[in-house]
Amino acid sequence: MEINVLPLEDGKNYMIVDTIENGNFQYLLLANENDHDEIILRKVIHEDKDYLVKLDSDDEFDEVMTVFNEKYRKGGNDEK
Amino acid sequence: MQDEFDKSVMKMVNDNNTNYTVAVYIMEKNPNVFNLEEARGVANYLMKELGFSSKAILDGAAQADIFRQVILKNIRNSSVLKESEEKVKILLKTIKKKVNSSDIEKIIVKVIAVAAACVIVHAAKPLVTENWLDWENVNDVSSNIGTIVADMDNSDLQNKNLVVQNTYQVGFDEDGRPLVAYNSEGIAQDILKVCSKDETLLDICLYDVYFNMNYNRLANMDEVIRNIKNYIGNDGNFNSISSSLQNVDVFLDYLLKIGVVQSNDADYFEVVNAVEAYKRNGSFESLSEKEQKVIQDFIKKYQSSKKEIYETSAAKINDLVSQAETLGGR
Repeated sequence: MEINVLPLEDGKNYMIVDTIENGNFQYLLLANENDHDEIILRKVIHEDKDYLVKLDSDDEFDEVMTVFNEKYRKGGNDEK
Repeated sequence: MQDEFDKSVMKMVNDNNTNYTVAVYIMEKNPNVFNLEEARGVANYLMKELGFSSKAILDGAAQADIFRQVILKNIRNSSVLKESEEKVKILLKTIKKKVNSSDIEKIIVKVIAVAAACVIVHAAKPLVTENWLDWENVNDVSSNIGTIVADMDNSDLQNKNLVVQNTYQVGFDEDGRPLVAYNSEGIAQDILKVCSKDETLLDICLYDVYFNMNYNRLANMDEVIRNIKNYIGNDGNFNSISSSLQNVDVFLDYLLKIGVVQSNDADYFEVVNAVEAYKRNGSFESLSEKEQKVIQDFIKKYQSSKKEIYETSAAKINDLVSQAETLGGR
């Protein structure tokens, strides 16, 4: 399968494994293309272009993970 | 596949003296095993056939949870902005690459496992934070306890069992399915933990737990309260509130007081009579079928209007906070 890959601030390339919608924000679940155990979340912000930033707080992280959990409880990612 | 999985888990248990739940967890991570239902089946088989104790299950679940927590911590650390860190924006510009779809599936499965743990962390967080006695947190804590309980009613066990396993171990029913009930002792302990420093919080906690519970769990809630009473009986700190703590009728009285049914409603007297019967008999099970249904419908009505009631309760709590602040108590 084809997948989107992008470089992050640490210079490593990450694959976009999944997208998670929560409220007005979209989050990307990313995994290092060379080390799949290195998994991270990033928030998409829309300005003149789309940017990725780290999450602001642990609470935000927990919330996104909860949404992710719910998504797969309900039968997984329909887009896939 | 089940046979192969059984054998692999058994080998791990025998060779490494590994707790079987941990072995199951490890096997779940095996690339060939994605089906948690199968894993649970094996766990059940091992328990029934080999006589592993429920304590072993709990210990194993706790250990398995540690694995998950480590993974979770790593994801969290690299995803959340630290206080000392400057916010960096990275332009979202991607290129297409070919990857093996099973690699992506494995990553998703792994995150599903840790995300379930994250839900628990989220729910338990107010319990372990230093500020757990704050009034707002008390509201959160008790709501979360109730939410977890309510979740267990759902028949979607495959993923929710992770939640069950990490909160209140419930064992298995006769058909080998995870038993969907909660450990009333655990709930009672959590409620007391929240309220141990301030007895006036007990009512709020109980109401919030009720609030989030499915109506048909009233009988279990009787047990929760019995447990709280037992603990209180052994703890001098709670002597002063033991007389005010009653069974479910406390909650039902509360619902009558806040006007879930009005005196001009057709079912008003029926509800009042059923609540009175509950008080007289002391438990849900002892009511007639009709009375049980009246009580259940009463609670359903409460739940359907709970948003409004919750806002009223929140206002009440805010009032109490203001009063406490005025008195200089906090």
